[in-house]
Amino acid sequence: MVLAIAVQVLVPLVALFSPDLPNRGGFQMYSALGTVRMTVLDDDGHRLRVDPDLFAGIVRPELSWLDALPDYLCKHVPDAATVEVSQNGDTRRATC
Amino acid sequence: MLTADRATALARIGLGLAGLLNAAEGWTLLTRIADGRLALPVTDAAPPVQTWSVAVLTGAAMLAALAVVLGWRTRAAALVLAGTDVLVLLWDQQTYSSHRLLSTILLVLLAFAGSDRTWAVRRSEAEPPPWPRLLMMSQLSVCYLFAALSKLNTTFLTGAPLHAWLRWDLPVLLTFAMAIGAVLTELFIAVALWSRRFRPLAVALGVLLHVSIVVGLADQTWPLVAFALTCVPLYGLFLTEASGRYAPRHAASPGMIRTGA
Repeated sequence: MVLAIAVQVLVPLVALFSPDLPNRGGFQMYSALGTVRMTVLDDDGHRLRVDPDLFAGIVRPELSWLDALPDYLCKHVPDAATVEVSQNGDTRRATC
Repeated sequence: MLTADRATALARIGLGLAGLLNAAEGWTLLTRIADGRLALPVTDAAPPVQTWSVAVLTGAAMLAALAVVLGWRTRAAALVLAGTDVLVLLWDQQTYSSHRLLSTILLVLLAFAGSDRTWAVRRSEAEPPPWPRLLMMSQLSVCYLFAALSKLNTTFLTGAPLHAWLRWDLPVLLTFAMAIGAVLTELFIAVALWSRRFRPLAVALGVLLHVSIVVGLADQTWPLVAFALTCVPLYGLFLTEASGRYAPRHAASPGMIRTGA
């Protein structure tokens, strides 16, 4: 019993002190941490709107979007020329 | 009168109803991925998301959730429902949510909590062990505690995120006060549910918190209803088990005397 309660406490405790917040398993809902920012520009440098319907659900900050999202936005946002996605201080750019 | 058995049955019904909503949420997410939205598989070994397989999984989850609500073959149903949640979580990262994780853990514990001793179409007479109910209570408390601790950051405490999330355009000074209040409320509930003196206030604040979350936040209403159904019905466990009624019921058990629970 004590061991089980220790696990219940330790898992989110370790998650709370992990470098990238929020993360899965930490019960860090609505903590306003780890906002994902995406900028999509056309050939003239004008900012394009990203349709929320392009996503299956909400863009959860607990997940890492840097690897998959830039190329996906390149493919699915009409007239996209460059895409920049930032999360937890890291940025990834893609040229479409 | 709320007895320990009724409190556990109430938790069962809440988790079953939350399971129905979670299954519906999983269906929506996964079928959209099957339709071509961005997929974020947990591992490369995960099978591709296809509508027919999502339908099978969702159907199994819905049936299991209904059985949990009704109290029919409760242990198996709770474990099947938890199993479908695990599969959904492993299928694509975007299905993750804190409330799905919480309900999955609670369902595994519920399976052994004797929640079908009353208010069930197929009742069990077996005396449940003490640990599942206590671990359900501690898990809920841990959830509130870390929800509060993670909000202790300079972004959330400004009130600006809350201002953006709410249905109404409230003054920033008010959302600042609400942000502070939310953190204090979650911290208080996490601790005070264990206090005989403060438990009624913690329960009242907990109900108020979940109602305000569902009504106040502009998006994710049904998932937030599922979160409320996962948490609020568990308050009954604190109102009965932790009030002192629990120990005498198990006093005849040598194990219980030894541990002094």
